[in-house]
Amino acid sequence: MIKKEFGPQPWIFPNPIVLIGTLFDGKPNFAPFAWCGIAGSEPPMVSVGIRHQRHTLKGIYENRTFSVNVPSTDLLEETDYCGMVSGAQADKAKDCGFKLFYGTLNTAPLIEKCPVNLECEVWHMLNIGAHMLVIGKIVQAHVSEDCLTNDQPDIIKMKAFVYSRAPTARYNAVGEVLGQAYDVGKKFKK
Amino acid sequence: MSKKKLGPQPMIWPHPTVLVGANVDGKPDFAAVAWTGVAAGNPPSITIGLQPHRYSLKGIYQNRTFSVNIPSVDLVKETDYCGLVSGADTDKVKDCKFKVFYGKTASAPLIEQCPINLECEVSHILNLGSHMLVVGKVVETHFSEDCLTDGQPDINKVKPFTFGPGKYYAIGEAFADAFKIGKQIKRKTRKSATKR
Repeated sequence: MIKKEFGPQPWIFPNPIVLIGTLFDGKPNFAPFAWCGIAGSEPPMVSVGIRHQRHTLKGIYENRTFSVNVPSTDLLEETDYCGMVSGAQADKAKDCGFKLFYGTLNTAPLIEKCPVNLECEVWHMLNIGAHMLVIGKIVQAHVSEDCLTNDQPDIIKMKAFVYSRAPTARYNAVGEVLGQAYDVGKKFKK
Repeated sequence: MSKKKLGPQPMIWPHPTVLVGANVDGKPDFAAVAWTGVAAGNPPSITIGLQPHRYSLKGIYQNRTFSVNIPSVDLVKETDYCGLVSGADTDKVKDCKFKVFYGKTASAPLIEQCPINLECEVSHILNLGSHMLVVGKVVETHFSEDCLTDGQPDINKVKPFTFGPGKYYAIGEAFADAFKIGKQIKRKTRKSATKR
């Protein structure tokens, strides 16, 4: 297999896509981020890479809290819109008709329509050049009841989607099941 | 919409699925990792969350380098296998018939069969309790030529997959262009703003 070198690129494909919620000067704001991931489980942690000039970061500095809202494909237009305008100018919650609620933290706004909502407290902030890596400890997870199967989250009911930058920036749905994890690989086990 | 509280749970779905490569005592080892993400663009940086006892972490400590290999759906069995066994008592490269090559760093093993390979140097290691969060600076990206369209990466040819709760999922069709589909709301809100 012939390989082509592209220089240093942060190319992990595909990326999840989430709406990060913050409160700045008392106003809720939401912005989509694909550069995020799970960082740890005990305590449960997430990481998000945010450019220094982003409005979202102001709210995080103010309250040291934020929310992670996982949108469904029904919120595709809203999610994309939240990445096009800044909370400094627009009231995105109003423009998108988001119904908000709060959980344990009163400074991490949550979007009711998103199937999964995580409330986070800032644990670490790491300056990595153009981006600040914000690591948040999850203090509560909310899941829409109609996205549960046997009381467990069901990704098919959630209708989650992914972001990929190749060949153009686009959103892809989650496709078919390929196999059960910790099972399909057993054939190699001696 | 009624919500159920599930307590603190690390629930961002779906996760990407990657094979993290490291040389442990000079021998290449690969571990399946879903708790990974992009951290920054300049310098390009990525994160991986590894439990402290993981064998691959030993290699990362030894060399301060590692690789991130994106498997295609053709490698789902091999990827799962790499998450089932430890490099301490198995030779995963041999068992999975991985063809290994090296790039800029002499100590970050890369899997030829994976369409994308990132060579990384460790820039930070954060102790987060159950997991060490390894932040790596990408120093080189290798891309299989047959996964390019007009010289650019094509996800439909890469055929990566994701990890949901307990299962691996293929990527479905692209159903919208990013930074475009949201313009419908932008237009709508602009119109109502001028009306006001």
